Amino acid sequence: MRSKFKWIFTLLVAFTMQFSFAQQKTVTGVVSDAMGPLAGANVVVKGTTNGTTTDFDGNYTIQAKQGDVLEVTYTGMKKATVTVGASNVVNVTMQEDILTGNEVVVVAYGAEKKSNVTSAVSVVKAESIEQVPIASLDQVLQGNVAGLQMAVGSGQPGQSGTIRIRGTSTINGNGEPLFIIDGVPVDEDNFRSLNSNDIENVSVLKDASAAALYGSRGASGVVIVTTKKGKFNSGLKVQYRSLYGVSLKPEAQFEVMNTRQYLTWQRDVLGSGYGATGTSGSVTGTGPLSDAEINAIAGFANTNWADIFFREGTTKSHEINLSTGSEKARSYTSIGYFEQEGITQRSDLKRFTFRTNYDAKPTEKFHYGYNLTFNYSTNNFTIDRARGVTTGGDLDNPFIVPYIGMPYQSPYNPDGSLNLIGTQLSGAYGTNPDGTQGAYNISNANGFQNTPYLALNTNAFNQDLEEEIKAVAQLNADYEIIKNVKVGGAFGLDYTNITSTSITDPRSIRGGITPSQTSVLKGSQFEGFYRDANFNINSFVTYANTFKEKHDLEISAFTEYYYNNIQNSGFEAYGLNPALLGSGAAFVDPSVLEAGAAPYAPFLSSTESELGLFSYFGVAKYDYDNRYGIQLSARRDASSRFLDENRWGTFFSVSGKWNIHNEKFLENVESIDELKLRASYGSVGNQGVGGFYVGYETVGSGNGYNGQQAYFPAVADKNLKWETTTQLNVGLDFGLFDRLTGSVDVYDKNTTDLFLATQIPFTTGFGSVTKNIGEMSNKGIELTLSYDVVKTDDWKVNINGNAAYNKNEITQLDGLSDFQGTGSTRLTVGEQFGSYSLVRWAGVDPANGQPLYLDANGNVTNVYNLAANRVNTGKSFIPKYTGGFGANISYKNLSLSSLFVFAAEQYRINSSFGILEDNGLAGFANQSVTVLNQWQNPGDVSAVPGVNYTGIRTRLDTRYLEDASYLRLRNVTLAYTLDGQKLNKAISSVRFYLQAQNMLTWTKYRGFDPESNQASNFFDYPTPRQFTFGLDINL
Amino acid sequence: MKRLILSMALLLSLASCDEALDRLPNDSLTSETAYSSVSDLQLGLNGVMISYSTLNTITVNSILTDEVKIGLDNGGQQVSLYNMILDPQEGNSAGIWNSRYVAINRANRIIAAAAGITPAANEVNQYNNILAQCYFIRALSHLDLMNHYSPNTMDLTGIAVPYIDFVNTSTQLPRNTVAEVRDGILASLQLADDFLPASSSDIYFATAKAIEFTRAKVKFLTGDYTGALVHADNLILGQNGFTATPLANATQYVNMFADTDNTEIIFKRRRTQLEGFIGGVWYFTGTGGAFLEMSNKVYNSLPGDVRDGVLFDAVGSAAQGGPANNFHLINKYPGSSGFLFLNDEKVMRMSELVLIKAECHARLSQWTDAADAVKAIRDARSGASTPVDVYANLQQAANAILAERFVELAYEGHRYVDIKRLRNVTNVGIVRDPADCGGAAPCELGVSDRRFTLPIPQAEMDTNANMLQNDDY
Repeated sequence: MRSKFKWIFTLLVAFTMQFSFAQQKTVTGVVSDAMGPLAGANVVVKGTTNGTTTDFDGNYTIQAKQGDVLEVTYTGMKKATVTVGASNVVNVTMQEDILTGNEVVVVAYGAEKKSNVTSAVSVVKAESIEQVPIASLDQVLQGNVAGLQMAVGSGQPGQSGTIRIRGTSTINGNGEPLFIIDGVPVDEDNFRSLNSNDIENVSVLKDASAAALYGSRGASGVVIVTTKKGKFNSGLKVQYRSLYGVSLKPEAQFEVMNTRQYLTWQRDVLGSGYGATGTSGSVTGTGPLSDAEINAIAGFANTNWADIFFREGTTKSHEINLSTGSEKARSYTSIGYFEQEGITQRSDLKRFTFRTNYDAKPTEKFHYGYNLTFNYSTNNFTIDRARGVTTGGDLDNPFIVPYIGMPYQSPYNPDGSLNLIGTQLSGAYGTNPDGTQGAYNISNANGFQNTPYLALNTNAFNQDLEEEIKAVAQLNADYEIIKNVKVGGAFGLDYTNITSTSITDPRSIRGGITPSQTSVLKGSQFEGFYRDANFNINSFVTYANTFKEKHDLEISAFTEYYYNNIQNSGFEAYGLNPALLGSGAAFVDPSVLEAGAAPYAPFLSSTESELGLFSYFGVAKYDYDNRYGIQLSARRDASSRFLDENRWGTFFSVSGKWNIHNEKFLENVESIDELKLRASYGSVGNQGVGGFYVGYETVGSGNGYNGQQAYFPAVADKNLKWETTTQLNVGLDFGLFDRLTGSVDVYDKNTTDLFLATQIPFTTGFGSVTKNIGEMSNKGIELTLSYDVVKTDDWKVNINGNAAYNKNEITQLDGLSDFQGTGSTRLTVGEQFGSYSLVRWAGVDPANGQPLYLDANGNVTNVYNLAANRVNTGKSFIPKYTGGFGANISYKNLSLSSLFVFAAEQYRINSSFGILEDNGLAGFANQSVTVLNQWQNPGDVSAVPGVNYTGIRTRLDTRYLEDASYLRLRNVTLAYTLDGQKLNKAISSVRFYLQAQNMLTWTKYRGFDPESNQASNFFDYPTPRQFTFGLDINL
Repeated sequence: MKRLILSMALLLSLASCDEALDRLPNDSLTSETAYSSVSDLQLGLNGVMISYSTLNTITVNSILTDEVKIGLDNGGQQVSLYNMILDPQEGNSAGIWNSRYVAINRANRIIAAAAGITPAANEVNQYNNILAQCYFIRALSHLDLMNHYSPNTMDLTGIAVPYIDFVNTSTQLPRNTVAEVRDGILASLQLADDFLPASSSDIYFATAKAIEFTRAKVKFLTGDYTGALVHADNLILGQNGFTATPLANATQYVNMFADTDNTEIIFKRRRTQLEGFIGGVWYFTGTGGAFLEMSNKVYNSLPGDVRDGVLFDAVGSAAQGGPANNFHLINKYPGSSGFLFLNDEKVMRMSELVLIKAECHARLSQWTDAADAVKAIRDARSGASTPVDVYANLQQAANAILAERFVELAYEGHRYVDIKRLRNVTNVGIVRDPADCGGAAPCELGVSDRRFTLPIPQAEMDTNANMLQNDDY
């Protein structure tokens, strides 16, 4: 973290030394860090008083002789030592030092010296975030923070992941952390339009004390993103960065049958389908296919549909940023372009990003600044379950086809072009009595057998586009109104405007049945307008003073008001003129009647919702001699979601630290660089549940009987109030032998008054109502380590890693029946959240091929009885162990870094694979090769039941509950930095790098991707592998 | 110090933002203010009426029985129900319970809200009609519930379902007896009758005839055959102030299922294009693919009269090989108003009442009367005089009536409860045609199987300590 304090401090401590040795030469060079040249760094010849400081451009000149060792120091940086060689130019690159105690950590509403921090905060620095070819910032955090678990449900470019900090601490409330960008709370589910390269660092606030100042919304942790600023008293710095790369499909961990296997199996085992009857689509056969016929068909088409549906997507990125600073002002400006294609057709993201940050201190007492980012992105979507408009089971979902697409169907037309309609064999065309191709059959073209072509057709013709304007802006100012007392305030805005356009082309297969098969005109166009505006205003008074040089005291009071307004409107028009697609000119008059009805009646909608939060809070910090520190906070919060007296919640926190390494008794222990004990306890509230009016018993309006408007009652618990998470955290930060640093934290988190969509008897007319019910606990331990194996001038080898274990348990449900929920996972007292409750699968009976289960007592039975025999498996889709590790190796200007991420003890129901073993679908869906070994004759031992046992894949049993643990090589980067001076005077450095994302994944999970934020998979868009080349030029 | 005070004032000025916390919904009303006029009540009634639908009873009665088989285009749709996997978690059966209690709750809420509103003179008819409709829906919903969830509706002291005539917000209600529910239904019907304006004749809403039909049905189901016959005959013969409603002739019958003729309709639940299409029980309504088809059993039972074409889509089936290729499409909901598969629900048709009359006579050992009623149906459907059956005992009569109901009322939500009601007379449960079953799909459901009574949904069992589950679930 660079800040103005560093520079001021440096000026104070900087001093110039004289030199007086003979036989010396003049050595010059530039001292820089990752950001560029450093002004005011001290350069001293070791063992002498001979020293100098660098100028504004980081240049220094010093007299030294060959073999002398130069020691370079700069506040907040590790001391650098360089031996003077034959060259008269010695450039020095400094590394940030997290042990000097002067590093500044961004915390709630400000920054603090790391040694003063009393709570559990993890920091991710720019180098872990920059130039990673992932368009959504939250995804980039995966594996970088102990206790931060990130999973994404789709490989769509720009897709936001689901983040859980220290486990799941809510059931129906918002379980994602609050994201703050430069003081502005922003939507935690949408980062696609933001440029991650602008980020200076990310602070993850994990315990109650750290998050307390965001108490109204920090119950699931807080992620504070700080963007880059210029530096005071620095010259203009210009950087150009670019990326070019490809995205590839992941390796499939399952195998489907080829043409010969499929047709032979249909003929010999299934007894139906093309192989058994010769009938497929509109082609009518005369009986089982012979081996010769099967061979001929296999010779014609043996399609692996994964090869057709996955493509190589490209990524391109260009960015220019400028930073500059004078004595009284500094700024950072960037402009970027990023485009990324997904690994299937119709899936991409393009964006323009712009940011400018400005800070000024026109007088010693007054400071103001602003941060503004304004971005425009376009996002094209394919059919994807994470998109929310499909269950994944849609036949035009491109990710269903590699599973069920029949291998004997050829993807190509006779002329070699891609077949976008279908064939006689797929039923899209009829068959004339003479066997030639007959008429197009719209109903069959939309049917199961035509799946691959239907998916190709939808991708080729139809459109699902979002265009987004996203702006995040903040204006802040503070003024020292009297000595030691500052007043200030900030105004923040997070503005998102999304315009959606979804067009079903009347010429497409889906268009043929839109709005209905019988309407004369076809096709539809949906346009949506969504505006989400968040305003945040806060003001504060702070008193800060130091007494007797040892007592630091700071007391602050804040008020904050937050207002969120969401407007959403849209229309869908039916019946389009294909020549004018995309324009309203294509719309037919919606009042046109056909057969007495109005098939083109448009769908119209418009909604608005508002949320207000008001808070006032205070915080007091006291630090004694940089040894003992304590922080207290208390706050009152109100949310418009709740009514009357339940509107207000009160939260508090207390935390303390002991910098043991600053104690006298450790003064002479050289091996201990840092030893800090932290402890915190406090409570944070959560009000993010349901809609904005969850506390109101509403009467809604909608379509009623006979097409008339109607009122519909709803129920609400008017006593709904804040959900509260209380957390105890004890942590130890350490630095040993100038090589090993790390921290370990243990926590005990307890959430009370859980938001729960509580089931109520349906005899009330309603199934559930959101109430405050029960308690949940999360206990865990987190470890972060970094070890410098080798630290020489040329070689640097660092290994680092983090790991977290979290144990979640529902501790009570206020007397509700132990089992809440009827799905595959249930809430059970004593069990973890997301725990599967299923009947145990016991394999296949060798005698008759029927499926076997275990009853509740563990006895084998052939009866599937969910109510009687479901048991808690103790397995959850939320991992118990998560983390990341890697190594950074550098030799001179060449560096290699890696990041592995892992998630263990995580399970998921593999519904996609279930389709591949359901013989009931085998007439039109390809099957897994495991089916080739299915039970056929008495005595056969197989995992797949006999051919008659169809449709049992959807039973809530453990058959498809698979271990989704994985280890993934998330990122590996090979980089070379070239001294720019060798190329051109104007260039300070050039960095080239090759990166691979998700290159390798180790998992047992039988799919494309073990990572997901869902309890089951159903033809999800997998995370791609990416390979990129990058270039940074620093001027 | 002044400046400090000034700054504190600045800080606290934000405290007035508290008012900004009163954010009332923009897109909905709140329960306190929603109902203040008769027109508000009318909007509420529109919400009551749409919540009553027989779609879920049609689904269960059709798929769990011998009316359908797995279709060529089945991608797993309803396979579980077809495989007779019926437990408290089963969604289709739970849907019957849940949706009927939604309708009951909404009706009770409007009845309660109406108590606080005094209609103007020119609103009295509308006001009374709203109340009549609410009482009618309340009665009908309870009747459906009892028919599906009571182990035996003829056992008056046996368990039925909770009868609810108030706005229940949280009470955990126990199951009432059959007699209590019957009395409640009849009381609600009487209230409906009392409030119903004399001019009411819209078959899309409650009418005096629909109320009378429901009385016949509730008495019939609870074993009061003599009582049921009075109400049935009132409509069949046109007695006691009612005009007679005839059975449809052949042309009217075909048109009835295209929703262009209402000759024998007593009560229809209207469906519009804004709702799911009724054909969606068996078809992908967008693409036309059938995930469930007519069973071979229905196909082999086609009676050779006008009903053949109403039940079976010969043209559509022929496109994929037809019966020779074991491909049979259901034609009962051919669509209307330019939309395939969009039709109204025929909740009460005269033929059902005539068959109720037949069964009442049979139960009362009046064999000739029973046979005459069955003959009346056959005559109307064939357009000619058909031979009259001769029954020697209840079992023979029951077999004939059940067979007639099978082809007359197929896909209209009767089959499962019909077999349930008569299985102890016929000594036959559900028996599927061998061509329709096998593997995981059972070919039979034995006479004494627990699955002849639907399970109380697990969600109700979990939340209602006073609820009693049906046997063996």
